[in-house]
Amino acid sequence: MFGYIIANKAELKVKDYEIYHSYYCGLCRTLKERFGRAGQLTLSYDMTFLYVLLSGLYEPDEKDTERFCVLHPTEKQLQRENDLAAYAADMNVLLSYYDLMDDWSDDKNRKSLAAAKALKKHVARISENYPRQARAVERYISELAAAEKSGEGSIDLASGLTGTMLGEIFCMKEDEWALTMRRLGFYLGKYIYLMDAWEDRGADKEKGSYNVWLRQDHEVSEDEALSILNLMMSECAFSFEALPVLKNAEIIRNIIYSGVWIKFEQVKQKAAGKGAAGAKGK
Amino acid sequence: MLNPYQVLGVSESATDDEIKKAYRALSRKYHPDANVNNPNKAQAEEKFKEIQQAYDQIVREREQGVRGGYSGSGRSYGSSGSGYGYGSGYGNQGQGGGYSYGGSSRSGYGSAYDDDGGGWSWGWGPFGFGGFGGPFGYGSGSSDSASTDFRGENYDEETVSRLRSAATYINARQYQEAINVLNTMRDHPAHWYYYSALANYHLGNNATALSQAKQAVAMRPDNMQFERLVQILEGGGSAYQETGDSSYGRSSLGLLRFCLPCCAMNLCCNSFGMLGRGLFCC
Repeated sequence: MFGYIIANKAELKVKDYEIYHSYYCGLCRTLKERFGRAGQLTLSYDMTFLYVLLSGLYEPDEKDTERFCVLHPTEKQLQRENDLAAYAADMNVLLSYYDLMDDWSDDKNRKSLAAAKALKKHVARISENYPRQARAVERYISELAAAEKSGEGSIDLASGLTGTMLGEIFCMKEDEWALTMRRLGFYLGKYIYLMDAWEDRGADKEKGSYNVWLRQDHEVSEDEALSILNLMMSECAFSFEALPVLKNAEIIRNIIYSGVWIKFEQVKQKAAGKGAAGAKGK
Repeated sequence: MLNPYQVLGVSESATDDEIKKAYRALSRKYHPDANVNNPNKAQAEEKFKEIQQAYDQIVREREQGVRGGYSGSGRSYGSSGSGYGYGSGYGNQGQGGGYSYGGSSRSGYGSAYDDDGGGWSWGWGPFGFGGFGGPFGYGSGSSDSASTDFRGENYDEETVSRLRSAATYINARQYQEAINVLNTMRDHPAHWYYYSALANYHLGNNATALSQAKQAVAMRPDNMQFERLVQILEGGGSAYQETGDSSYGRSSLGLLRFCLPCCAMNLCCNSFGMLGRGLFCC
């Protein structure tokens, strides 16, 4: 479900792209330092986004270091680190752990179970330090299962579960920005959930699996779906614009206004290509 | 109430970035965290509240402008870096002493996650608190100034009483209670849809809210209040889309046909990720 919160590289200035990359590498580095290889493997663009966002909001002191890393043994990578990386890393592991456990319970994926086990002790510690966020993730897993079982038909309510959860993750502390960060995470979460469900609807229909788009009283057209997805991101964007973020703003805007749509567009392109090829072959 | 622009020391034509910059500068000075050892910290806190409220108000007004389409649709970023509007800050304007740092997780910022299942109640958004959004008429500063004017409607006593009750709850920002009352009604006249839309929006059910607002308009096309609500709810989506298209090349995303080295991110990386999670980039 995650993996939509990426940057539109083509529209980013080279300098901004390099900064974005340095946060990504910095987060990877922090994951390694805190959680070893197992932690590194959980690295996600989603939490990189959070890291960039929090850094823009709180403008912490930052340190840029060039290092070799396991993926780039011959060319040093710039890694940007600050105090917020620890939070992003902790949330990264927290989310990944539950995601993996979910994989295990859904498909009995042994690889996922093994990976989850490697993270378990870290998750215990993270949950102690961030009980609110941990509780939100636990609650989310069970509420999502319940919603699927009962066949929840409301687009808002079904996606709101992911939204609420992500909102808690995005709200690092209960300060003057707590509400706005929750709102930002909330609508981003709704978007991710709905986008993911939209892309899965064909497969879900075949398998007879739950999919909120398939629970509507009419067949939802792509235009209608896009309009709803747009509505979600627009609220997310308004939340961002409410924050007094100047630093990293261009990177964040790139992601919020266009990056989040990339995967969808590319899947569409691929499908269109296949369709055309199929037609040609006839 | 002082002019918020004056409080921040900026002109009314200041760009969004200038507003943010001014806010940040003042916040650094007066934020409680920066005044822990200050003998005058009570004054500093008062001043900070004033600054926060001013910022909040400007943000909310500008967001309303963008959503209502007053200041042109969308924003254009890039060169000028200035936009037209913001999402709102958090709402707690009308209530004194709305701050609490550290400590309690729920008071102070209007954060109202109802652990009893009431869900989130944002309390802000383009409606803010006491601003547009009170079902008693927009633009009214106080919640009770206008009558619930069901002029021209043939509502029976029971209906009027329940609608009024719902409206009262909405003004008191008790959105779930409003929904509960509305759900006891068998008849769903236009105002039922209008109040449902408002309450749902504030609960984060924005897709439902828009569809309900449209229903209200469909039933009473000449009701300006209803029309205005649809405009505000929908305008956000249009503004967002326009910004994406004009500033971030969203409409040309489909042209990204291949994965550049260190990529259009995730899509190619997904196949490398150790757990299929789209991790390391090239």
